This record gives sequence, structure tokens and C-alpha cells, in this order.
Amino acid sequence: MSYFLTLYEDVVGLSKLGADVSDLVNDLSVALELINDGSPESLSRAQSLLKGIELRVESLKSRASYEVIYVNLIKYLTVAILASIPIATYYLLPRVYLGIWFRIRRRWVVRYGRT
Amino acid sequence: MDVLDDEVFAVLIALTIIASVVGITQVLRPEATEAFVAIGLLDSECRVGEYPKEVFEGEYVKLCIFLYNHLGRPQLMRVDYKLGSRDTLPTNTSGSPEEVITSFKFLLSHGGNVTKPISALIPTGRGLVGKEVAMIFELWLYDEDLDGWVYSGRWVHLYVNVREAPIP
Repeated sequence: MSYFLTLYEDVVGLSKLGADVSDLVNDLSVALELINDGSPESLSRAQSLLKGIELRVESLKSRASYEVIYVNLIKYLTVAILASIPIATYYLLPRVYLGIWFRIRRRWVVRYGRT
Repeated sequence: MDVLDDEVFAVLIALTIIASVVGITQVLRPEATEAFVAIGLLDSECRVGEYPKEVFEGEYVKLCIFLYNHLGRPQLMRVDYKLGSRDTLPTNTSGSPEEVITSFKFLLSHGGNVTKPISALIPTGRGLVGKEVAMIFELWLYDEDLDGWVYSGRWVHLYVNVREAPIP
């Protein structure tokens, strides 16, 4: 159980940094069920599963800073795009509307005088 | 000629500003604005309804436990099963003083929930026959800073009457 707890603490730490740990949590949850089962077979399976998780945790730790930068970049890029929508609408909507307006009426013929 | 009416244009711009602000707040808001956990007790079919009223000494009572994590991070949880009375129920700040009969551990990611069938033993030889007892399920959370379990203040209980085990 202490091995499990060490990995759990690492995963929570990575989660607090903003890394995506959903797959790790799912696998740790499976390992916990095997540990709860308590049979030698289940404990052996849990041990091998935890070893795999440990490798992935170490790998994620080494690139956690890049992961955090990437997550923040996506977040603030989304904010920038959302913030630019009203400005883009202000400048583009009249042009687009006029373009459509003229396109619809391009076959119109303007005649002077009484019909 | 005014192709795009000024008032219509102003309304459209106002709508895009509102949509943009709502979108930005959704992106920037924290994952868990109000952190909480929840525990629920369900019947043997994992539904709200047919809870047992009478149980036998030595019987494994089949119930379901529901847990939900809204703490904004993965959380290791433990449900402690105890048998108590009206005087030994847990409170919001402390668990029941009764001894733990069984513990069930779960790991949930943020926003995750689990509904798990469990078997809770009614122990023999504790003078419970003929009495009304409370099956208590307390929710404990693992605190990695303290390296230990902390009572969450959440629990559920079910009153049952204990009867003598039928002769096989």
C-alpha cells in the first residue's frame, strides 16, 4: 500500500501542476481494486501495474513543466480568440454583410424614370 | 442608403461581447469553485428505495455505496463501516467512536463518481439481537500533506433491527 500511496501522491502533485493525469488515475484505481481484493494473484497484478504507472509518472514528471506551459498556452490562446471575436465582428460584419448584400442584388438593373 | 441599420449592428456587437465574456469566464474559472465530496447509500440493486429493515446476526447485508469527488483533483477515499446506535452517530466534525468493522477504498478523479456494491457484515456475539442498530458509513479522505486519513464530515447511516440468525 505504501508503494501505491507514493505514486498517488506523485499523481496528485502532477494534477495540481495542471498536468492531465486522468489515465494514470484510472490505472491507479484499477491497482487499488486489485490491492483491495487481497489475493496473491491480484497483488502480483497490482504490483506490475504499479511499476508501469511509476514509469509513466517519472516520464510525466520530466516533461511536467512543458506540459504546464502547453496547457496554459492553449488556455490563454482560447481567451485571446474569444476576446477578439467582438473586435473582429465590429470590423468584418459590415464588410461581409455588404458583400452579401451586393452579391444578392448583382443581377438587379437600375432604371431611371417611371415604370 | 443605410444598408446595415446602426441599432441592429449595435445589438449584434453587444451580443458578441456578452458571448465572449461568458466564454472567457468559462475558460478561466477554476475547476472546482466549491470543493466538496459526497457519499450516498443505495439498496442492493444500487437504487434509492428497498433498504433492509431487518437483518440477521452474521449476515452480510448487500448495499451500494455512491461516492462523488468535486475537489478539483484526484482523491483517495475510504469508507469506514461501523455499527452504532442513535447515541454514537458521527457528527460533521468527528467520526463515530465505534470500532471499524470493514473499510472500502476508492480513488476518484475530479468530477468522478462510483457506485459500488458492498457486503456489510452484522457481527455475531455482540449482543445485537433484538436491538435497533445503525449501520454507519463514514467518508474519510487521504491527506498527502499529513500522510494520513482525515474525516470528511460526511456520513450515511441506516437503522436496522437485528434478529437471531435462522437455524440452517
